[in-house]
Amino acid sequence: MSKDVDDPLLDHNYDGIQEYDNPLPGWWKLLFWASIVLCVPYTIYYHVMDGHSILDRFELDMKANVVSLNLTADGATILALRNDPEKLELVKGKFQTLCAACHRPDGTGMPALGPNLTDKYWKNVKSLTDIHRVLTNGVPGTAMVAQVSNLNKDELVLMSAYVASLSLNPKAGKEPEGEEVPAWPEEAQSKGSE
Amino acid sequence: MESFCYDDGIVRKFSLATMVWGLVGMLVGLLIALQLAWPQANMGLPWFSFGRLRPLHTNAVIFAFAGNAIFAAVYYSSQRLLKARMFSDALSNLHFWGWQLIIVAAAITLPLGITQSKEYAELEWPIDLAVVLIWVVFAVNFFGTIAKRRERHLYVGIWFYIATIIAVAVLYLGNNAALPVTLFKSYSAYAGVQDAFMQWWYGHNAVAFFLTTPFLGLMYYFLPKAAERPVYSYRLSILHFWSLVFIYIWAGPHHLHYTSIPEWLSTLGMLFSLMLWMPSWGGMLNGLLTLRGAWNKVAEDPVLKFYVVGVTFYGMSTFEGPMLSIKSVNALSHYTDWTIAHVHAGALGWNGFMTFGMLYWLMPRLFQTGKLWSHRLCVTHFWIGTVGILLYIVPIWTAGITQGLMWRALNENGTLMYSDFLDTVTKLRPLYWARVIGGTLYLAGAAMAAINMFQTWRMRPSRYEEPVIQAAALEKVYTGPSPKLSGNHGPIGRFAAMAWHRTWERKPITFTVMTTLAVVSASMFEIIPTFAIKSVVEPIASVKPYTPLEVAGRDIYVSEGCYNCHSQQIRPMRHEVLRYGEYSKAGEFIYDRPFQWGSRRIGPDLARVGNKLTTSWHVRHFNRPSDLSPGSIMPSYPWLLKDDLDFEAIQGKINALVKLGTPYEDAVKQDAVSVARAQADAVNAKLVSEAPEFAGKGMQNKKVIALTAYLLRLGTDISKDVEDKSAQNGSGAQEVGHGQSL
Repeated sequence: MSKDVDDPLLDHNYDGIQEYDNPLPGWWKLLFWASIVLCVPYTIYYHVMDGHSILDRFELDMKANVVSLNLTADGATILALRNDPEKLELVKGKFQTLCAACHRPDGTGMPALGPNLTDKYWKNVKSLTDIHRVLTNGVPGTAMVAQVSNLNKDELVLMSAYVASLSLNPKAGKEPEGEEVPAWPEEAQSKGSE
Repeated sequence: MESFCYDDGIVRKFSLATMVWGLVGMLVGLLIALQLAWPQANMGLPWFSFGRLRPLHTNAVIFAFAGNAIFAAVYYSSQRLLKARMFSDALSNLHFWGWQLIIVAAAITLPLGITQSKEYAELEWPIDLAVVLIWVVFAVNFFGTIAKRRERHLYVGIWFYIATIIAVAVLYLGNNAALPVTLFKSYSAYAGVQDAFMQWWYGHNAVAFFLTTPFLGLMYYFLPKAAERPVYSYRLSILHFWSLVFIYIWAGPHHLHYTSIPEWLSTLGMLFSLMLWMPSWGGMLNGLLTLRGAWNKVAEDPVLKFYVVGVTFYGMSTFEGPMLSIKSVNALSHYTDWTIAHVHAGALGWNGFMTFGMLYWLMPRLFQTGKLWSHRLCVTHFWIGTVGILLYIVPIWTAGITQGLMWRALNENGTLMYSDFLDTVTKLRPLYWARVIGGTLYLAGAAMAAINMFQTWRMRPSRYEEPVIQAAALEKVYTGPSPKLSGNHGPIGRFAAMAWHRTWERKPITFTVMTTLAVVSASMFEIIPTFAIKSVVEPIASVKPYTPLEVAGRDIYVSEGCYNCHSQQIRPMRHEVLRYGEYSKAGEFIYDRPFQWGSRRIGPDLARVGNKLTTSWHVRHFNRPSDLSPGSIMPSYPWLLKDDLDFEAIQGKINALVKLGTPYEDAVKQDAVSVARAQADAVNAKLVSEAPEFAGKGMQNKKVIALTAYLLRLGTDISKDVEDKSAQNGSGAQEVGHGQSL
C-alpha cells in the first residue's frame, strides 16, 4: 500500500513487533472531547437546576397517575361498583399481582390455598362489607393475607367490588367451601329502599 | 551477550488448562441456558439447580477459561517482549497448580451452595485468601521478569499486563473484605448501599481488568505477530491506555441506576461510561488498523479471522456498554436479558475469539509441529462459532427488550398491561430455546479447537527443542538516545509529542506507581464519599435487624443463589411501584450483609414480598413452584422441606453480625438459638393452622421455615414506619407512600 510510505515508523522493535506513530483520527479526538465536555451541561441540568432529578420526575409521573375517588367502604358503594366494569378495570391488574397466587388469575381457587371466588360459597363472608373487612385485615390463622399495606383505601373498595363481581359469572373450579350466600344482604336493602 | 531460553512448558500447561476449563465452563453455561428454557433440567437436585450453577458458569468462564488464557498469553509474550525467561520456574509452576486448585475448589464449593453471593466474587473467604496468595506469586514472578529484562523499554502489551495485576489486586481485596463465621461462611464487611457500591465497583472492573486490559495486552502481541505488520499508532496506545485505566474505575455505579444509591454516584457512573467509549475504541482502532495492508492475509489465515471478529465484537460491546449506561436506556434494559446479551457479545466474541485465535497461533509453535493438525477444522470452528454468537445474542437481545417493554406497558387507565409477571417470562421461552441452539454451536466450535489441539499435540517431536536466545544484559544506567524533537515546540507541543512517556517506559517502577495511582485515586473519588457522607443512607426508625431465624433463612437465600433470578430493589418508576409496591429506600438495607439487590429479574422482584404471600404458600411453592404457578420456570426446592436447619450455628452468625455492628438486644446476643426456635415454632404453628397436612411433620426444624420467615419479613419494616407515623398523626396509612396508586 502506497500510504504506508507516509507512516512514521518508529525505531521500536519488540520481538520483531514494530510500531508506527500515526496521528489520532480526528473523529476519535472529537468524540472523546465531546464526551468529556458533555459532563458539564448534563450535571448542571440534572443536579444544579431544580426538578430534573430521578425522584422529581418520578413524583411528577405518579401525580399524573393518582386519581382519588374517595370511595366509602359501604355495601351500597361496593354493590354499585360491582357493575361498573370501567372502574373494576382499575384493580384487575392488582388482582393478578396480589390475589392470583392463591385464587388463580380467573379467581377459580387453588387446592389447599384460596377458595373459588366465582361461586356463591364463602368462608368468612356474609355480606359485601365482609369482603372489604377480609381484604383489609386478612383472616388470622388462615392463608388470607391482610392487603392493607398493598392496596390503598380506594383500591380496597374497588377490589371488594371486583371480587364480588366474580361470582356474577360462576366458573367451575375448586369445590365449594364455607356457606352459601345466595344473595347479598345489601342487595335486599337496596331493593327495599327503592 | 547472555544466553538463555524461554520457558514454553508453562505456556503449554496454561494453554491446555484454558482449553479444558473452557469446555467445562461453556458446558455449564449451556446447561443453565437449558434450565431456563426447560426447568425440568434442574432435576430437583440441590447442587444441580440454576441458582447454584449460574455462579459456577460465570466463575468458570471468567477465572478458569479467560484466566488461564491470560496467563498463557502473559507467560508466552512477556518472556519475548522482555527478552528474559520467567523470573522463577518454581513460581511459574506454583502459579499454575495453585490456580488450578482454586478452580477445583470453586467447582466443588459453588454447587454445594458455599458462596458470598457477590457476582464474580462468590468464592468464600478461604478460597479468596488462596487467590490473593497465588496472585502475589504471579505478581512477583512477573515483576521479577521485568527486573531482569534485556529489553530497555516496556512494550504496550506489558503496560496492560501491569495494569491488570495491580488493579485486580486492589479490586479483589476491596470487595472481598468479610468477617468469617465458619470455614465456609462469612459476612461482608459492608452492608446495603455501600456493599452494593463496592460490589459493582469490583464487578464492573472485573470486566475492565480481567476481561479487557489483559486481552488488549494479548492483542498487542499476538495480532501484529500473526499479521506481521507494525502496530498502527504508538501515540494512540499511550492515550487509550491511560484514559482506559483511569476512566474505567469510575463506571461501576452504572450497574445501580435508579436503585437506592445516591443520584450523584449514578451520574458519575454514567458520565464516565460515556467517556470510556473512545478510550475503548482506541484499542479497537489500533487492532483493526494494524491489519491495513494485510487484509489479503485475513482471507487465508483463520487466526486473523478470529482476531478481526474478536476485535470487532470488542468495538460493538464497548459501544453498547456506554449506551446501556445512559440512565434512560438503562431504565429499560436493567434487570432484563439485554445485559446478558451485551455480556455475551463481549465474552463469546471478544474474550472467546481472541483466546481461540491465540491458541491456534500457539499450537504449531508450542508443539513445534510447524502447522496445525487441521486448517479446515479451524476454519469450520471460526464459522460455526460466529454463527453461534449471533444465534445467542440476537434472541437474547430480543428477549431483553421484549420483557423490558412488557414490564413498563400501561393500559390507558394507568394500570399495568401485563400484571402477571409470569406472562413476561413465558413469552421469552422460545427465545431461550434459540439461545440453547446458539450456545450449542459455540460449544461445538470449542470442541473442534480441543480436537485440533489434541491432534496437533500428537504430532509433536519426541523432544521439544529449546532454542537458545542471545541478548545483551541491560547496562545499569541508560545511555541510549532520547527521542529527539525536530523543529520548535512549546511546552504543549513537547507534552503532546510524548517523549516523557518514553522515559516512563524504561522505568518499570515509575510506570507501575503511576498506574496504581490512576486506579486508586479514581476509586477513592467514589469510595470515600459513598462511605463518609451521612445522607447517602437516611436512617428509617422502624427498620430493625433480622431475627436470628430470619438471619438463618437469609443465609439459605444466599446459599441457594436466589439473587441470580430475583432482585430486591424496586426502582422509583411508575410501573415498578404499580407492580411491586413502594420503591426501595437506602435505609431499608442497613442490616443486609451481603446486599441482595440482584441484577436480573428472571423471576419477580422480592423487595416487598413480605406482606403479599403467606406461610403455607411459600412452603408449597418451594416444594414445586409449578403447582401454584403453572408455567413457572423456577426450580423445585424439595430439599428445603426435608433438610433440618442447623439451629446451633445461629449463635455464631449473630455473634459475627454483632461484631460488625448490628444492634441486637441482649436476649438475642445471649441465646440466639432459643429465640430462633421460638420463632420457628410460631411460624410452624401458622403453617399448620393454614395447612393442617403439615401437622406433626416437625416442620419447625426444617430449612424452609427459616427461609419463609425471612421472606415474610422482606420489605415490611417500612410499612411499620408508615403505621407508626399514621398512628401519631391520626391520618390514614394509605396516604403515605408511592405504592398506592390511583
